[in-house]
Amino acid sequence: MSMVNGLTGVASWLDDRMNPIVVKELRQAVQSKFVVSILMLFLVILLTTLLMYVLNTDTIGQVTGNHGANLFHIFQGMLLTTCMLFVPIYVGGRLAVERASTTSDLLFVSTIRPSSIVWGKLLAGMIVTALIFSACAPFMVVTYLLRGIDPPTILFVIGLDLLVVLAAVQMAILIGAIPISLVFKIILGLFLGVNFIWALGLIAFSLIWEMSRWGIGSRMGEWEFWAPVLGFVICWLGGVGLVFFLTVSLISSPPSNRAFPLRLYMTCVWLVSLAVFIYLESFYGHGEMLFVWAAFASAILLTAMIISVSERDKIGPRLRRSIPNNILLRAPVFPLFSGAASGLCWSISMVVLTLGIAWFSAMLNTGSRSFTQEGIHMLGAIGITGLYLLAYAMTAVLLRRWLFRHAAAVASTSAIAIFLIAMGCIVPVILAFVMNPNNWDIHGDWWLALNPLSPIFELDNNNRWTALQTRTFFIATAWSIIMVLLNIRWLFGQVTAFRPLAEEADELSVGSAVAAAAIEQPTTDNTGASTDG
Amino acid sequence: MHIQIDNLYKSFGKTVAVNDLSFGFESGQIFAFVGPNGSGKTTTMRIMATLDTPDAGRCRFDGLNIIHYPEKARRLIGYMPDNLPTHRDLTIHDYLDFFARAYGLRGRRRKNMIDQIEDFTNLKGIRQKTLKALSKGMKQRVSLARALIHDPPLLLMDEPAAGLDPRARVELRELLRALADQGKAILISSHILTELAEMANGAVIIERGKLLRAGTMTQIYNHGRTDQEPYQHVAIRTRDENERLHRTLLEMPNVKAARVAGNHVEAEVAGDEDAACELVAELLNKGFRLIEFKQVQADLEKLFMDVTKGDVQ
Repeated sequence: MSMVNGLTGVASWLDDRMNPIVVKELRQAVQSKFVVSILMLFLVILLTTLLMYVLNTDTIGQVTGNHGANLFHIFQGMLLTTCMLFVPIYVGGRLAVERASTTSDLLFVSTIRPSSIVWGKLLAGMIVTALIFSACAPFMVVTYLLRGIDPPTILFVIGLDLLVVLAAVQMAILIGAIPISLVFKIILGLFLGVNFIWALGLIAFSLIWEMSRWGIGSRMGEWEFWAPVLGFVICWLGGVGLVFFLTVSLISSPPSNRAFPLRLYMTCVWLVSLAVFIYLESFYGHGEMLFVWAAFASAILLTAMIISVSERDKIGPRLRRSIPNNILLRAPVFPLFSGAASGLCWSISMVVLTLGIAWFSAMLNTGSRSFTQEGIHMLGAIGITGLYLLAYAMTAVLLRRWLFRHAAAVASTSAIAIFLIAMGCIVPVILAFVMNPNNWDIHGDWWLALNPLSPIFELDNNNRWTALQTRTFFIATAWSIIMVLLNIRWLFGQVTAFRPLAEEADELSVGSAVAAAAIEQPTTDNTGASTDG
Repeated sequence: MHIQIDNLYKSFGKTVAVNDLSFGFESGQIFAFVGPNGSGKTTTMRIMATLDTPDAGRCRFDGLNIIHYPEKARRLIGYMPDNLPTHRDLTIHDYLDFFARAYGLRGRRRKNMIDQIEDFTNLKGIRQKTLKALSKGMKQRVSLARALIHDPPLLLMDEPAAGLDPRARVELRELLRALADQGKAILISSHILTELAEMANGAVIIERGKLLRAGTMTQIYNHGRTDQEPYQHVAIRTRDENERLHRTLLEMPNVKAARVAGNHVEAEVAGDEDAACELVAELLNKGFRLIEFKQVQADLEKLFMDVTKGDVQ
């Protein structure tokens, strides 16, 4: 009896700590005719396929047969297609509809955190995925009985499938959370989401096909197998995490410090990925690993720099109340806070650190000297691209502040910057063609002086600098310095405004018993953490 | 609990939605929030519900600035927007359970609270119905139940009576009265002014985001009167003598104003209810054959029409 009570207590404890969004989503999924219909249809298709395969194959059950592997690939393709098509649309679509109505408003006036909302949606999506996977499990067992595939391979492939679906679901949640109309979300989902999801699916399917042909099970004891697999899984989960925090930022209240979790996460991933690449570099004994890391990291960080100019340039009270009073702590946390200047400071610092670490590593590198030189030239070219993008971003800020002061919102600054970059790339090329249609060759010429990617793509055959890199270096440096100087008051205004909120005695200390009692109640979200403050 | 809004200002581009708005009310009071469409009522309520932030101004609940500390304020607020629940596949009970969880209610406390709220809003008998199967009136009840699930001391209700049939309106009114009696502060916006006037202790009238009147009903109706003397608003109907009655009333010293309104004459009589009784006696003495003599309750609808111009932005 006491054991039953104990189990009931544990169940009740777990029930209380479950994410409310997961509970709600799963209750809805169970009641939803759509989910049940998809599941039933999936089972019928699997069963029909199995029956058709067995009935049309003479050699079934023979020791030398490879029917299990063949059937496994068919089932696995069906499983992945169903999950990639159905689960992201179901989860993302639900969020998009909730965001379009006031349903999400009702969530935001509760004490639930934005991260809990996104986590709940993701988890619910993965539980629905697990439901579909479990429906497929008996068929996977049949493939093993038909020979030609071993259980470790089946489990490994299913694990990879789950990772792919995880990324697709998170991507769908991101699209569902973007603050645009439902129609635009559908268009975006069709053009971006579907392409992305199918690209992921195809890559995963081809990869899995190849790996299962080698025989995964026999290689599972080797570190040479696990090192790249774990590296891949870490990078993959890192990417999913990035999209997760991006989604959390999107659904967080604009006056809150919505950039903080995203920047903190990116900084942590940057550190972890640096450690992983340093390990891989020493493991394989190659010198190129950190250059690859620097190129990827710089691409992400420079994109973040362009986006950051769309952030607020005035610090609100909600943000100021979380600024540390201690001036020594204030400086290091400044780049992590929401705000255009903070975002620029963070992204520029990270790019400089990334390129600096890769350059330092190249200096220490004992490998091929010519390869090291190529890497350093590549790093320099990335640096010039970074200067160009900074110049474009600051020009966009200047235009928005001076020319479009009343016409353009702060949030549109990134769009202006992207438009300027597009113009800088396209217009000179068109002009070059108009002026000399018979001998149109822009390579290495002044026509590329405004193209931020030209320093990278115009390296010579040995990946070394040419006159173009030297020229663009001076142009980008001068342009970015001028733009920073023209925006210096705007930048410093944000730095000097980065001060904690002065305590207003009348705002917190005065409070009746009613308010105090209500506030003092244990306010906990699903994670069990206090949400106050 | 005291709710105080000071100099609230909010604009969307060039449109000023709320312009220097200030008012306050207390626990146990039902305050009507009245204004034409597009006057800034919903914006103000969204700011009070911590869903939006103002460009300027303060909004304090018992001294707690909710603009600076929205997380703390959310536990104090029950917000009922003008939209109804849209979760098609959830039952009423599951819907309330979800929001109870979202507010951090746990274990037996959550179960008890849901039971109480379902009882109070008369939803217990239909708790297993899905939301899509409910009538508009029932959905309003569910919406109210959701707003009450964490027992907030302040209720913000945006057009809760819109589209309700007469019975549902009467039931909603009774529920609100019961909530005010429990000590909750209620701010309710509605276009059904006659009903608001019957239940509200006070009102806030706005137009184009600006405050026109705010205060208790007595303060609102007496707005602009220089004398502090009480007065009675009466309507009198005679048998074909309204014109003579009108002239006679204007000549009487204790009658402050009189006008012919349709088939009766309205008058403002200085003094308390005894003054009204004396007026009846005097009119009978003067030979008027009275068909009807009644005290007219303060008319929020008329006041609203008098003070607003119907401007939209």
